[in-house]
Amino acid sequence: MSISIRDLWYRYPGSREWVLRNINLNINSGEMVCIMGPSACGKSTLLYLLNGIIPHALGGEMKGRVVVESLDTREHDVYELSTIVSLVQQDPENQFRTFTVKDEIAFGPENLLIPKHEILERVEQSLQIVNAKHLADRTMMELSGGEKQRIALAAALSMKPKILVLDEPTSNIDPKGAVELAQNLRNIRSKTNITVIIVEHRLDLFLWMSDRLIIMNEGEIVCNGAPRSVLQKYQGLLLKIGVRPPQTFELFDRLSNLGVINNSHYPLSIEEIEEKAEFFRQLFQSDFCVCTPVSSGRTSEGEVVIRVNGLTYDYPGGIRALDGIDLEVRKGEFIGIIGNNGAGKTTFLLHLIGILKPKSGNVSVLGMDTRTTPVSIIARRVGMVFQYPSQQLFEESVRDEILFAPKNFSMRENELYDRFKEISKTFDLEGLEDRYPQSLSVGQMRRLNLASILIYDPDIIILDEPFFGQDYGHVERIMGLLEKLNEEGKTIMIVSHNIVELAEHVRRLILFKDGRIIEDGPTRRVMNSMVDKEEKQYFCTPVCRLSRLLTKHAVLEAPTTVDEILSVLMRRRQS
Amino acid sequence: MIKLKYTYVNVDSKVHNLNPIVKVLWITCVDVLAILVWDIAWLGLIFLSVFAVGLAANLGRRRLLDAMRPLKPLVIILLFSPSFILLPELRILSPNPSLITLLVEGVAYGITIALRFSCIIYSAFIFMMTTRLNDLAYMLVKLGMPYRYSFMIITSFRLIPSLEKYAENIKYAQLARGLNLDRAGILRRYFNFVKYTVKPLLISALRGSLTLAISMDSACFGAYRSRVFLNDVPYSKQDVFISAVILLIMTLSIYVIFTGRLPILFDFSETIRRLFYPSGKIV
Repeated sequence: MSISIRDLWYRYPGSREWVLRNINLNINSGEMVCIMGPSACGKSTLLYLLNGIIPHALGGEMKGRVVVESLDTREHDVYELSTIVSLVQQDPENQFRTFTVKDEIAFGPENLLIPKHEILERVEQSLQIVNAKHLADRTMMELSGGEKQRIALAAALSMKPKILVLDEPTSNIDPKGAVELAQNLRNIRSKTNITVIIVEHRLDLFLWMSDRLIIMNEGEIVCNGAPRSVLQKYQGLLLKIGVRPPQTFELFDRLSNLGVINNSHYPLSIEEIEEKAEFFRQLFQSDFCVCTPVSSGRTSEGEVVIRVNGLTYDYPGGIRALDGIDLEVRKGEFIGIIGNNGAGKTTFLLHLIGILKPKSGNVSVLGMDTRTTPVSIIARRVGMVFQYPSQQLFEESVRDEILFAPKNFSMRENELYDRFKEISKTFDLEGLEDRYPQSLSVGQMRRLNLASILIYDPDIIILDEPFFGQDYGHVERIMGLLEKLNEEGKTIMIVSHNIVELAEHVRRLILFKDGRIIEDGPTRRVMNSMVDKEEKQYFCTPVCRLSRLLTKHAVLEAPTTVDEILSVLMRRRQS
Repeated sequence: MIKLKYTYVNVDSKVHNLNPIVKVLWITCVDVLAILVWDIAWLGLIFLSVFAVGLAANLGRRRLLDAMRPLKPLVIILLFSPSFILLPELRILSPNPSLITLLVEGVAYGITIALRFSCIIYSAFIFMMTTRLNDLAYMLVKLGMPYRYSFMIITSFRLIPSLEKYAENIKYAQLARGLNLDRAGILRRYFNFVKYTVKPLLISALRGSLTLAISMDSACFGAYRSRVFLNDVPYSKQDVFISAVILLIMTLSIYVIFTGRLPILFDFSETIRRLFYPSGKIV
């Protein structure tokens, strides 16, 4: 037995609420376990209990026992446990202790007084396992988010642990980085007998290689079993608490419900489908040609609200961030912006609100030249929510936070009363009006960020990674609201790594790479154009890849969402 | 992705390859001289020498100029701060000074202090951009400092880029919601700065520190009395030579300053007097 948890209860210092309630869990050596659950359900807390950070470093009240490789975590210090359990956290920026890749990987072994030659060997091996030998001489600041997480993984491996624990390792990184991290984990599993415990929202990446899926809710384990059986058995409950199954699973489950297939072995990832492509082709009947009506070239006929011509911008130090961007956005468009970390997406958005000024070229927003119009004038009509929730909260209460921007824009508070009520309700912030914003959970903070801009009813809404820290239920609610606003004529632009959500909601997709726009068009068309290209396929949904796999003939626009593929299939069956 | 300004710049140069202790000696020399010297021209020369070291470190003129940006508000505040212009010491120097005398002396004083702080801060920037902090920790340990303390220093440096990034994010978020701290009056600006910038910055920093602390604990930091350092940082003959030169310059300069033999290169008040009052005194 690798881990044994008995009758565990835990609450943080100064808190009356139990974060974990009556947890009983056994994990065997070499198992890979995926833990999921809505925000603030106690997943990360459970991980901190495994390497002794709780109770030794964070304190709090703990009842019950946690035994890791025969060591009771209460009786053994963190440094003893850290040779057994290695932790990779979700924040790629703050978990680094040093400045260079080699120093970072060597940091743990250096603390363990391991001889230098062995440390060097460990550094080499760890870099090899995570496929990052080429990064050995870089500084941490030179790495992308995905690369940083790979180095964090290498640093964890250099401790030669028996148990590897990962806390939402992909939440801050782009799809390519996430796929590479998943490949690294697969590699680790094939070469070692390490027990892997991963807390993750992106089930499509990790579930297929997991032995077990554990679902937590409100501090308790509510489901525990083989991934496929948990998903099949408890799907209703999962959706209710904000856990979404992989897209491929969802598709096959719905096909099964419609009586189209009668197979209980639902695929959990596109890789599983690719491995059994022929079987699935037969399943869909060999002549199944997936095609949908071709999208029109323009996604809105409204007037042009954003016009960008030849926009170029350099970072301090002369590094080119944006390189000749040309773009037109029309009123009422719903646009998704995708691209790897560092591609220039956020820098571009900062130009739309006038915070950054072009080095060359020009940006016109609602007829205002961003170079000459004060940011406060543009900001009144362009609402922007940034990436990190807590860094955009300034006031003492939720109420004041929501009313912060209207005050700056000299709007009258009494005129906003009804809207304030409505916004609080929509974003689940009712009853929290007097709470200190920084004391909210990440999910609540995110909703507060959104409420704080929607209160003043801007014409254009720009969101940078709005799904950060949100479970599926809240993501759906946010997207539903944005759809409604879009129907009312608002122009919406979202930067996100959540491709599945974008495919389901946005009508136009823009792909950034190295400071340039390399794809731009209707969502389905753009995704289809990327599916066969190695560098871009990470930005396609599993359904899009599946549709292309099952299609014998070249089609311009295969479906990208479960609803689309089902409607095509049903249409064909009816005809 | 925002490129941060004050972190280690991974280029090869003779300055980068110097032992961190030599660079600490250099910073000490710059700081001591900047504090002891009052002549604006000498302070200007010290600042230029710091810039020249930056150039020798292959940091690039553009990056070096860009690194000066945060000095700008400091220089403006120091130059025009009323506390300097109406400094009580100046009244002692001239018992019945006119407003113009106070103004001229105050501005001269402001320039001196601004240059002094610029030399001290800018040399620290150059140090950070050319020194791998692990090497510095290693050298401090070699000099007898317990490694936990040396890493405490390193960790504080480690958080600088994060703080820099948080501050930028906070500023952008403020602008996007209609708050522009730069437009208010000076008192309002300070009040708003503390309320709307310092607080979220501190909270973000604390959150970041917790992540870092968990990360260090998880890697057995502090488990034993000593630790291994993978990289050996040699103290080469070149390091010895440069250290000797720096110490010599510092000793000679202190001697020259304290014996009153440092020539005055530029007398600000006298120059103003000659420009505006060629026939007499300002007072």
